[in-house]
Amino acid sequence: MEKDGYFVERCLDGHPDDFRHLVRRYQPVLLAHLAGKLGSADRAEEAAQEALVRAYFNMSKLKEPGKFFSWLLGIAGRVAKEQQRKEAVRRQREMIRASAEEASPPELSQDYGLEATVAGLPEPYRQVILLRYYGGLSCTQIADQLDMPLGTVTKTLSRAYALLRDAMQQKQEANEV
Amino acid sequence: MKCETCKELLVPYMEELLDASQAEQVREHLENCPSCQAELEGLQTLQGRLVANGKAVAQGDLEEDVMNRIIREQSVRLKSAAQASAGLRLRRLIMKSPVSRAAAAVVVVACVIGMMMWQQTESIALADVLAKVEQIQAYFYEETTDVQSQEKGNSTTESTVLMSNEYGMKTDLRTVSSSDGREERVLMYVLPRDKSVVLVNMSEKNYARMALDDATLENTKIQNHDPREMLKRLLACEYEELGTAVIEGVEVQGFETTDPSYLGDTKLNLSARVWVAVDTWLPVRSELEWDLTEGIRLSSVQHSYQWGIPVAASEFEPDIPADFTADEKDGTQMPSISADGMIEALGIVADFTGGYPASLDIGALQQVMKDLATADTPAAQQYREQIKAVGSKEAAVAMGEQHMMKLMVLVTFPRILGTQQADPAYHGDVVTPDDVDLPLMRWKVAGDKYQVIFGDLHTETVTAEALAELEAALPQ
Repeated sequence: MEKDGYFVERCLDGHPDDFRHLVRRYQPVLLAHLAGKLGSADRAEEAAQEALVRAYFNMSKLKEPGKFFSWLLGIAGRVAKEQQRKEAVRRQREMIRASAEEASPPELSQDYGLEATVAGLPEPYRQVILLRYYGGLSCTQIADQLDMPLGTVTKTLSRAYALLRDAMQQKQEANEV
Repeated sequence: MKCETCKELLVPYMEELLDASQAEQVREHLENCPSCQAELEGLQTLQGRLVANGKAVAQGDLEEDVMNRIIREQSVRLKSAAQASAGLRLRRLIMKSPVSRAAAAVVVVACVIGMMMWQQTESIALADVLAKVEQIQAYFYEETTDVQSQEKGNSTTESTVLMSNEYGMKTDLRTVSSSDGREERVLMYVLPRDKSVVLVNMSEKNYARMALDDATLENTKIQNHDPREMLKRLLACEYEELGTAVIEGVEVQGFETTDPSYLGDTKLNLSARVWVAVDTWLPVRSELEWDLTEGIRLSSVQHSYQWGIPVAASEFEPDIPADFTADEKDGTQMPSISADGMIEALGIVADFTGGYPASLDIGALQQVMKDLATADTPAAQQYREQIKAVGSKEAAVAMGEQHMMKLMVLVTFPRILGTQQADPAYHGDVVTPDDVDLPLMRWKVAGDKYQVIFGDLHTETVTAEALAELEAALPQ
């Protein structure tokens, strides 16, 4: 499996079409991450597209081609924030317009509860979970991709599980109250 | 095994990353420890949920959408780059006075020198730059060409060029003459798939689609100063390294040649430079100055290169407005830049003037065009009558252009042979159309074989030895 850095260099060397390998590699991860942040598959898809296009046009600014994925997640995070801001403004307008009606903020659909918790994890726990379960990589592949010792990957994963369970428990308790 | 150790090993255990003995130890501990057992089950539940979600979360296919969006946005970016250069052109028009123009030129030169901070860094190998550029499928650049002619005044051409290995070449040329401020805009498409050239003259509102043979298609690259061809040329010449400088905010390293064979000539007065970015090893700027003929100096600068951009087929579909008319050249064959084209052009000159041009350069060609107006050969008389007979001035100009294009092969073909190191030689100063046995022109085709065009325009392929004999018979 070619590393991300290889495709980044290829794009910068004049093979723009090789960008599609990176799109293919990260679209499930990106969609999961953004679905968690935005709470809707449609909006996640829109944001994922935008993030990938932005990444393409800014690739020359990526200082370490090997860090493509975490850089891409950073871009996706900014796109998601922009969308949320736009969405909040839109919702506010709607609330003013329909002041009589009780405008309920859209609930995160049940399906994305887990993704939202993942999206709330600090780096690098989020990265490892995303790559392992949404990117479909094995621990060895993740170690290779992120240039990390295998032991660090499993330790990070272990810590990520603990954080996820804590977060979910807190949510559950909050719901029960 | 302690619980603490076991809990640390649970993830590698689940991922099956432990060796057999370690895995066995964990298994043994789990059997006897309900707390660690519960921990494992908790992890397995979580993992199960993650696996299930990973499969369920939108597996939407973004690939085509993303790639198409990139192509669309790229073309928008290219258009705005083209508009930026149009803005520059307008400012040039305002600076019509020779004094302000000269002053502006001094400022520009000062800025360029100011930007060049000479320093030493890791050296760039030009061959590697070429190797990198040759991998590139498509690119864009802008070019400014200044023609300084003592006779006809100066003109400036601003062009934007989009090149694709797959679809061809699209050039948008705007020429402004400094004497009358007249502007002409022509779009040119070289389309290898259709083997054609399409010219759309936006100023005259006409167009022409001309067929192109394979040899000519290949040779147009050199004619158009394709940056890739020019890098190859530079490598084949003697060149000097110029050290580093900063251009457009990018650290670059320069290379320069003054070798006339850069343009396939032997005595041309020229200087060419290419500036390559130190971090990407891709050209950032190229400069070329040369004397087209006595009294006409050309200087061109290629800049704003965008290497390796996505392009869509639609960019190369000529967009001809409905009210444009086809001009005289439409539907004709583009003069072939090949041996056949050469023989045809020499034949035209012989018919019109009764002899051959003494040398093959632009100056000689201009002389031929002048002779056409006065020569008393039947062909020249007939040509002048034809010109008179066509109704409009435009049609007459188009006819003249068609001839000129055919005759241009006299200059372009030998030059291409020169770039191919084909050892061309021409003896038009001593050979006439009656000299059936004398070599008018020759060049190497393979090994020690030469192709020879004789005075009566028949051709033969001969050995180097036979050629030496033929040339020994030439009058001194």
